[in-house]
Amino acid sequence: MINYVEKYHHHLYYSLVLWCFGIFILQRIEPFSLKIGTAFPVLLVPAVMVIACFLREWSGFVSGLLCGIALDTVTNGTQYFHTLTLMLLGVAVGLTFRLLLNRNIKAMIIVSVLGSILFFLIKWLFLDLLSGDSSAYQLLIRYYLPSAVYTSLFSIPFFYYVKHLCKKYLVEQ
Amino acid sequence: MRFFFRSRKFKIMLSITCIIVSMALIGAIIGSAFSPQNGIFGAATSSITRFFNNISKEVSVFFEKFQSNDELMRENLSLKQQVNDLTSDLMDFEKAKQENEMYKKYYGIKEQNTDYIMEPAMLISRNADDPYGSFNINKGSLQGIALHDPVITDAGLVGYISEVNPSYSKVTTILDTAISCGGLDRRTQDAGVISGELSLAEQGKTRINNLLRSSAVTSGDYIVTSGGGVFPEGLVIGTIDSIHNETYNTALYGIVTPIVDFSELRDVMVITYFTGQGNATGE
Repeated sequence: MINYVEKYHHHLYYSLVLWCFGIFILQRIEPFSLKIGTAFPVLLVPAVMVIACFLREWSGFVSGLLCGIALDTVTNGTQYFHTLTLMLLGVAVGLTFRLLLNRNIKAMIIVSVLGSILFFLIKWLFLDLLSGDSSAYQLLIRYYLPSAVYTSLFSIPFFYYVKHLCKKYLVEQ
Repeated sequence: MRFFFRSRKFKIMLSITCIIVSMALIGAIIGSAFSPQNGIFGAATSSITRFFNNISKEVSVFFEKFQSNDELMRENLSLKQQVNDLTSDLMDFEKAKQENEMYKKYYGIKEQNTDYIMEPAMLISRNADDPYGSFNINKGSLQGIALHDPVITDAGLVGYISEVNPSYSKVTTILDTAISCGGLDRRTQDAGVISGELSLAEQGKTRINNLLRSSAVTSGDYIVTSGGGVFPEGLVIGTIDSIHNETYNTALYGIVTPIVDFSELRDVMVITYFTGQGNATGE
């Protein structure tokens, strides 16, 4: 029985890695960038948060690490910003759901909105405000906040998708 | 919460975080060597980056094809519309140009005959079953065309209106046996009667009858209308081809090659009024 569960755990992880990879590639393709006006969603952020919600802090951490590195390798001038932020976000969301919240869509939406805003605020703080960008506040209002709200919306379909995967591959213990 | 901080996983997380923070700090201090895109880490990740970029690029190119296809289709439709518009404009222009050319040709006639009221018309169909080459024009009673109105071109006489409808009319040519009008040799002023003949009509010719034996009409002479009936005077009918003796009397008749090439006919002018216009058809 244990072997059976472990076998399907692997399937879940492979599926999630492929899913994240697919999202990452999708965002790199111009027609699927999902940009609306000035709002540009970073789909890996809700993906990491949803994974952390279902698979707790360790999986959140690892997915944050992998997704962050993926983002950092294709983004100039961010050093390891995405890696660190997504790792910490993954752990934070995982712990929040372990200790404070029940795993449901409402809680996920709240956490996702707060997490996305936090992610974009930190990004804005370190990459724009502290780097002395004269139009930092304009960027925050026009780009980062709409992007944060837009990004968090993706947590809804992602939540149901990962829930479906977990139901399929994971036996609740 | 305590369980988390005491767990082995937390220590691993902390270690990894510390490594990454150190690399970020070192990268910030000594430059880009430790950045994810360059230097030591970049060398390790460059192949991954290239892999990602290549996949993205290939997929982007793949979808761009569809996108550009859509754009091309839209552009194609728009260009087709433009071509249609331009073709329509061109047709209007050509029509105006032709009309202008035609008016220019008729300007001389109008100057010489100020009493003429003329209506331009266009050949719309030929009556294929008529050996005399009658045809229909695109003007009718609504445009002031009346029965027996003479039809001309800038070269000379074509025929007359033999049937009028509100929007089109039938023109009987001078090749027709039904026509009978006075003709004059412009050089000698000898008079005759123009009338068609089936065998001649097949050759695109007509004849002038009742020429006096004493007349000096000869081949190459121009025959014009004598006026005083359906046709005004002075319209060129054609040239004398040959002169022959009538079989049953002493008169002569001439074979006339009409000045107008009926097979090339396209635009004509209908004289709706001229001084001395009568309704005698001679039919």
